[in-house]
Amino acid sequence: MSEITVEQTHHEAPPNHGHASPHARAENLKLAMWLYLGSEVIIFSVLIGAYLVFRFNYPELVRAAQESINVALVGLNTFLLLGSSWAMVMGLLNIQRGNRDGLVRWIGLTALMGTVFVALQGVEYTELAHEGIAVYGNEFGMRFYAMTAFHGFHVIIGVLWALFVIFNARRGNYSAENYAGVEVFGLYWHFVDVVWIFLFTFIYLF
Amino acid sequence: MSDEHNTLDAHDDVKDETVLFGITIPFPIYTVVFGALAVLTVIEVLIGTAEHGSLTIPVLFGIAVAKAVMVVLFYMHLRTDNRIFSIVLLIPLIMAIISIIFLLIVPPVAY
Repeated sequence: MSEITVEQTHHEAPPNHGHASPHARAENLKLAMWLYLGSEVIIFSVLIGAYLVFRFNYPELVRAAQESINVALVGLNTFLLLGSSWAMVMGLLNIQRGNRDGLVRWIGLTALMGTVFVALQGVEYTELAHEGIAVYGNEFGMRFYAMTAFHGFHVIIGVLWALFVIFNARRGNYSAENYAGVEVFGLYWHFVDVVWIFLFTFIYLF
Repeated sequence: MSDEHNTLDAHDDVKDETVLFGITIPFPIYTVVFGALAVLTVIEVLIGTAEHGSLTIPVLFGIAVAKAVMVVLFYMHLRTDNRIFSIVLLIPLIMAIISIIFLLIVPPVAY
């Protein structure tokens, strides 16, 4: 009985009394995501910094390892991730214009490209293992796998999140007036893309 | 700004065509940025797989930074979003860059 009373009181309260407005809530969500991404900057920087110190102090070891790398395969993977970021932002544009089906299609493409990226990374790992570049017993390998596998883990989380966004979109939870959830996911996904831009350059091309 | 406004007021002006250096391109800015990222990646691979010269690494690094900046400004909307988001990104980024530079200039082994 008391619960019913509380609920009724809540409904009678003035709008937004004690609550953030939808706009403020969305801005808070985005700020929270940016704070999280700031912490991710530090984590990835530790891995990248350690690799760069190795790269510039032992260039001959890196050169030898790079000869085993299939740059064409990794280049394709890079295009996939860049393309997935484009698909992500096109999905956002669609829901901003009230096109829910468009959102589902574009985010579906994002998830697909992310999945293929991870699969091709598995192919790359298998090829490198045959070349003797492993996690243990290889100076390049331990740094290479630490960075790329940690990034790959982020891609997998991103794919799962994309599927969750699709699930929400199908339930009608997003609209032209309410798409903060899509945008926050987009911030995460684009960040993963930005990290890959640097990993690709530092590991495969430097 | 009223409560009814959505979260992305600043992004609502995304058009179906983009004017770049006075030329109208029949695609939204997001597609144009993707095209630029793709072209830069091809250039990057061509440079990176060729014989390395003294400028190879600075050029590759510059291209990577340009690509990242494009994604952050246009796809992550820092160009139009609240400045506080840029500050939240820049503080750890600057700390990280200083730390990495420090690590790179310290001798790897003791004298």
